[in-house]
Amino acid sequence: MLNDYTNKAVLVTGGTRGIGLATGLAFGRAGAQVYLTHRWGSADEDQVRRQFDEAGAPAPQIVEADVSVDADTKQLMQLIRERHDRLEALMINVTVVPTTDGIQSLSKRALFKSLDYSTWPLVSYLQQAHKTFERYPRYVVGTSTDGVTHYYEGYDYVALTKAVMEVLCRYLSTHLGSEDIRFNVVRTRNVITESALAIHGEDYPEFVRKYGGEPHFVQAREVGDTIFALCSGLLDALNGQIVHVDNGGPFSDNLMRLYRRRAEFGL
Amino acid sequence: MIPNDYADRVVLVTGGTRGIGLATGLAFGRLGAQVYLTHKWGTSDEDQIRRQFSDAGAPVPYIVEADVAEDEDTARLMEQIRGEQDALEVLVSNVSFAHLGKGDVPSYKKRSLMTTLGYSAWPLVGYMQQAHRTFGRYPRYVVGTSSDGADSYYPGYDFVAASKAVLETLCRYLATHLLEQDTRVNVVRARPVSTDSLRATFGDEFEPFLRKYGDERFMIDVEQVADAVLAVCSGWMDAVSGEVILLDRGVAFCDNLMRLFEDRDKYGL
Repeated sequence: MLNDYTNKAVLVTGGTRGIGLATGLAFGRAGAQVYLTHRWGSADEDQVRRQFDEAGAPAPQIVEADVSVDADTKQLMQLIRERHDRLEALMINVTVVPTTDGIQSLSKRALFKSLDYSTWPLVSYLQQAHKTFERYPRYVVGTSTDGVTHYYEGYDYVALTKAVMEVLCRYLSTHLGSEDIRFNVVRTRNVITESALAIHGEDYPEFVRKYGGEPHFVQAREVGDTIFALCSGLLDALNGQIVHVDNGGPFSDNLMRLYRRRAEFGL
Repeated sequence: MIPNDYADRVVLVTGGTRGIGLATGLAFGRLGAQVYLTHKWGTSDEDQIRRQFSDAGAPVPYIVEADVAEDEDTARLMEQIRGEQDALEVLVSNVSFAHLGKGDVPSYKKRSLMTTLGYSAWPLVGYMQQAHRTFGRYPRYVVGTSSDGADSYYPGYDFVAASKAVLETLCRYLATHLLEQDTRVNVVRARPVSTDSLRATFGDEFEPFLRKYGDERFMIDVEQVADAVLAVCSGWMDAVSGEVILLDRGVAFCDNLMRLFEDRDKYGL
């Protein structure tokens, strides 16, 4: 059965841009009351509202909240509690990490800080949601990357924080097995968002397009739609899973594929 | 014999005075290596460890107190080795500090996760960085020890599993950073190994339970893990880097209710 999201509360962290925004829009189209958080002096709020309006979605609530600050999390949950009895879906999307440059650049402090922003909110938001609503959200989804198992330059901290997120997903779903909650992670790759360009550089998409092609990109909307599917009611038997949204790309992202098409690529 | 000659070569094993660490030290010691075993928790009887090395025909090991979470201890340890030896051939990063949770969500504490990572994952990096500072190069072989907790449930094991996921991901990335160098980084991932640490973590009854409803294959011996670590460093597997090698006797695949159902008569279920 499909869930009715009309006036249901959905919270998306890092929700004013990229994958977060696309996810918010997917729920908004279904009539949900979407709460989008941001920290970094977000994108143009008017433009975000206009996109919701054009999608026929209720106006979203845009809230400034630093995911690593517990007081912000608490305040945010209370804000939602004033208007809703339950938080229906929670999407943990924020990733804030420094890039890396080889082994000597790695530091424990930077790793821990990365975990603070990019992994721990999965737990702290869940705990705070339970304190505020006296129950867990029905759906929790985290966003991960295939950087956990595939190399991306400068990406060490992203991969490490997502590896922890994926393991916590399995454990949390086990702890909460008897409750009405599903806990899954969407693992994607090459979603060309502002943050992806900031990490990989402006030339990266063109290179992937040249030697890979469109299947090696995933659109933010495709990720948002998959997250919505996980929360749609159709996949309620799915729990503690890592769902790959990657067009099957990683399997053939290798030299053999380039070799086979070497004439075409001039290699 | 294995291709590499370990006579007088230096092998450092963290958490080396008990369990998997000690067995690994002995495996290298039998080949004549100069083995450094570190410990933190007021280790077991040092004389007894030296006797085990002596009985194995191995050179006397160096037993050094060093907390893997303390950078100063790591620096001091490397300086000590540098004062006594020319190079560090093998680093086995074995310490795992099991900060067990209650197994429920409200009791999750960020500090516990960070502490567990500091002991069970970060030393792989901290030791490599310090080894490079001290010796001007990385060890030829780096091996971390992991468990299958990242993919299979163990009660209270949440943060240890998370730290093993970090260790395994670090292994892949570090190996890539070192592609151009004569260094391999691998992880040996074992299912439950019969050690004091296992009993301290899950209680005395876990191992008998595994043997009752599984069979002998459900437990791994410390010697099997040690042998696998040695194999990765033997010279036979120099083309293997950035890998997580699973030691499970094939059991992970069938550790499920279907297997119990299939053999329900045998188990009286």
